[in-house]
Amino acid sequence: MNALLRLTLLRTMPALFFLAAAIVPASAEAAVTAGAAAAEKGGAMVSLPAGTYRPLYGKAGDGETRVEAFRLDRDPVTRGEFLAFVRANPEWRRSQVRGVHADRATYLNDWTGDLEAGTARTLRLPVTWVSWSAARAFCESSGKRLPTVKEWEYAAAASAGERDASRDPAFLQRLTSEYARRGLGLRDIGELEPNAWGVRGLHEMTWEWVEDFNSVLVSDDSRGVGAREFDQVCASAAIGATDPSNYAAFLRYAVRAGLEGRSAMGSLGFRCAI
Amino acid sequence: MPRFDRTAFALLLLIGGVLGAIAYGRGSTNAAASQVSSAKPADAHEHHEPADEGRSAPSSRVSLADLTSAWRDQTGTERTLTGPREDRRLAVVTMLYTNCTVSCPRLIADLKRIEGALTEEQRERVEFIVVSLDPARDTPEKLAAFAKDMRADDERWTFLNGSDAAVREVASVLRVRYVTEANGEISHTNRIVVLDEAKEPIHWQAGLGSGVPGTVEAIQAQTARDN
Repeated sequence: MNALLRLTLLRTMPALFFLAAAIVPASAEAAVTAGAAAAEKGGAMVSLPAGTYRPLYGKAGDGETRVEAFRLDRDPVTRGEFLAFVRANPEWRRSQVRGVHADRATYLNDWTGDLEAGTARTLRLPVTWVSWSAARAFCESSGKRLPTVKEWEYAAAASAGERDASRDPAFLQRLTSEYARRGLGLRDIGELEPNAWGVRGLHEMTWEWVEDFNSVLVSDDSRGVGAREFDQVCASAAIGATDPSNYAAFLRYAVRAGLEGRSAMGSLGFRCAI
Repeated sequence: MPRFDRTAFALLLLIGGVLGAIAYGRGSTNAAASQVSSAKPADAHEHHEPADEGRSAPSSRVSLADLTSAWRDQTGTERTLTGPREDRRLAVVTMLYTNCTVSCPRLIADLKRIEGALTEEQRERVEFIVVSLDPARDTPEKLAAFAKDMRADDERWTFLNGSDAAVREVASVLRVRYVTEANGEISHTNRIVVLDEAKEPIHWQAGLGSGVPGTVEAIQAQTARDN
């Protein structure tokens, strides 16, 4: 190598190093974005036909409830999908969200920054620590909505083999075991078997937001409607459970009854419906 | 250059490059973070009282003025739930529906008792907002007729009709639980909530009747604060 070339090479090496320094973080970010894009690809939906199911709470003597046909996300909304949403909608980022929509003390609690939701693997997990308002806004942004309690319960009554397994004690027992695992870590959605409708992870991942979570009126006076009832609650029906043996359903309803619109929990996520 | 100097020089450049990469990475994260946190909320000019020192930033407080869905009042006029931002009245809010025969008239009676317990000056500073849980049947015209029947038809009373989604959202903030039964009745919890001038909840009355004095006190205390 001649002396001039060697000298030129040496002189440009610092510049080359700093160029490398500029590219390295950018490519790391690109990898995260690529991971986010892959996680965004979720979005598969399942069509459920109109049908009936027996709700846990209702008037004594109520038969089954009718549910109209609807479509439901096959899988829960992921962190990657929610990251893309807050990237495009800054008013839903952790540092900017309005107090009426979320509690800053809990909202996106386990993210390390407004736009930092973890590694490519973490981005595939269901998003949690989201409020009802945020979940609704997300669904709305993709032309969808949250499912109602009825729709969610109808979809969730299915086991792997049966569309309505709500009277199968073995199925209900399995659900109770699944709920006991809440907060012990999330599995990869790919490991879960779809239910008879083709929906995955309704019971095995997190509790899930529904549009009318505050329609659950759980009366603490099981003796039925009395004078005290009318003071706190205007209700003509005796709000009792139709199936006291369905402990799994009790748990789901109890979680809903304890929520507020700005609540967020590590064990609470959501999926959308149309 | 002597051989050992070249190697040392190359090593120095390598170390410099690594340090540069780290510094660049740190720098860009900080820049992004400060960009986000310096974005001021649109209404940073909100009224601040001395007692606010130590409370969280304005945008993280719970204000119903941040609910942007559209409503129609009993005159058919469009507005947000809490009305124009310049309206610095207190608000006393409840949710009911006109076809409700048992507790809803009592809710209105409670609101009127509250209204009656205030001085004329205090009354000027309060808006009574009644949100219908049954927008399908409680049209603005129906609400106007209801307001007249209840003799709650002066300028201080606002009856609102909105979408199902908007009603569900307000209920979630006011902690009202409601469900439509098979027979068309709407079971609901009875709540009266007082909002201050910034439309932030300052008092919650659950149930009927006995909570009225407490609600009146809260309103009087709030109006006294700004005098």
